[in-house]
Amino acid sequence: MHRLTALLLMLFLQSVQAAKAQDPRLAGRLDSVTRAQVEEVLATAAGRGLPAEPLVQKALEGASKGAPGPRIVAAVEALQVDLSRAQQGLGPKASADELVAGAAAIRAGATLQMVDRIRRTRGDGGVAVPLAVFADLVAGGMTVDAAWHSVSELAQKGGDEEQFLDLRERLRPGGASP
Amino acid sequence: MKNCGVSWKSWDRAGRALVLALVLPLSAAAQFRGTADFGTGPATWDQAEGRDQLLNGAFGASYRLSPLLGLEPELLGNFGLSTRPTEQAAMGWDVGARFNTRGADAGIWLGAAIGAAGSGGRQSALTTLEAGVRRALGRARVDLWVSRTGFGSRNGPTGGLAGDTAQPDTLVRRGGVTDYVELGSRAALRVSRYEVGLSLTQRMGSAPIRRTGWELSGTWWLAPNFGIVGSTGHSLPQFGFTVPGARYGTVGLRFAIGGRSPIQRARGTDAEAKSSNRPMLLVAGRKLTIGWAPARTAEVMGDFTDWKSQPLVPMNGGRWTLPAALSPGVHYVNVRFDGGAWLVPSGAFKVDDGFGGVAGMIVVR
Repeated sequence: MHRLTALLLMLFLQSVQAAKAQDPRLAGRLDSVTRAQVEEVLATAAGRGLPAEPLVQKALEGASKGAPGPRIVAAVEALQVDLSRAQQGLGPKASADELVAGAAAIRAGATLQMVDRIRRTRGDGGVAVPLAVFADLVAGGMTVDAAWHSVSELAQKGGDEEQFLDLRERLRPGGASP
Repeated sequence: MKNCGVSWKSWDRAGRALVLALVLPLSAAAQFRGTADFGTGPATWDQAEGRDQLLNGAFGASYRLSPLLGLEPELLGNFGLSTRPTEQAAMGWDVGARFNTRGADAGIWLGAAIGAAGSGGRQSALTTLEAGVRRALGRARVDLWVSRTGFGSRNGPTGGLAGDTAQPDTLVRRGGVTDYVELGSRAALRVSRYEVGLSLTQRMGSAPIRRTGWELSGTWWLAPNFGIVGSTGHSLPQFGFTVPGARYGTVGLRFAIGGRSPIQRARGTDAEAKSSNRPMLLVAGRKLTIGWAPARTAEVMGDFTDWKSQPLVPMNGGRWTLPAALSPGVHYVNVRFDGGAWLVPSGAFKVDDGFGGVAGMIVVR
């Protein structure tokens, strides 16, 4: 009897997770194969306590940009890995926005130690903007070490969001980029 | 007042130097910064009776190259001109390079430059080596440096120090080249559209050339690339010593070229968007606006539109806006104009989109 109850509970939880992994927005935008693969990634992410919305958005972004199905799946998987690593660095209490910024920083080359150090240094100051500035500086051509040095230096001084934006202004020329 | 000058015969060389300083920036204006100053005012000479009315012009430009070995190389060029009623114009130019360390708030630099300075038939070749430290303290910035300037009569038989007015024979001579060392400092404070700066320069050496110069200056940026500048101080002998030191006061105009004046650094303003002459994303009150994008149509897509293209609504002055407010948080966005390529407007953080392109990241509070 206990075994039957446990089996039913497991089936119920799996069905709930599978339902969570299905997003109606994907239906009209991805072919069935790509959608199924993306939903597998979403189910994995849900099991790890990661937010699904950034992953859904990555798939929609790929569809709108005309990326082929395998590339969309690869991008969603890569984001799931980056979000998972960001969660390791930022801790279980990190918000979805912080995880997204952390994933962008990791994608740009930040290590878990760097992300963790920013979190510890910033305390309640929020990590989204510093991590976003880091990713932006690397995307603009700075080396990971140089960008990290600049961002961590300001974080240690207790710089606020405005000062991080100023840092970005100083170190990276603006401009529309294709 | 700038400490540089050159003879009329060196116009061609100065022109080539300026071309060198300007050609590269034309291909990548974002890396280029420059200022042009024009001013006039009275000067009371250290070694002569009476006062003269000076007319000064100066142009300085820099171009940042790609990072190299963790350093930021920078090409520099300067040109200066000073006239007074009874003397020939004194002019000078130099071109050089500087390597900056990449600290956000502090760093050091090493640099070298060559050039020429003088007036009329007197001219001197110049070489300068310098090293300095910089430090940002909130809105203030402090620079300290030491430089060694060598100059001599290599440019012509009538050049050099023969006609100089600062007892140049007392200068240190090595192989026909005379040199002196200067210790310099400058502190600048920027608040809104105002800048105040104080410079102190100590020229080292024997008693006749050992001088202290200073300048207090203020700039009021009336527009992103245009301001009024006033300065007063005591200058050191300039333009290869063809212009003696003087107490002076000048008022003039300053033009910022390529780089950003303080008024432009105030992000989120229409002035910045317009002055940047590039599509710029602004988020104010959770409303997304694209500034300075002269196009027939503009579209945006991002996570807030489920990555579906959505037309932006035109406003006056080449601005476009998204009618719906954004929710607080981190968002990704791309924009395009007239059906062109999707791009990241300046003002958004540029990140790899995973599809071989880039997306803009914005943080909405």
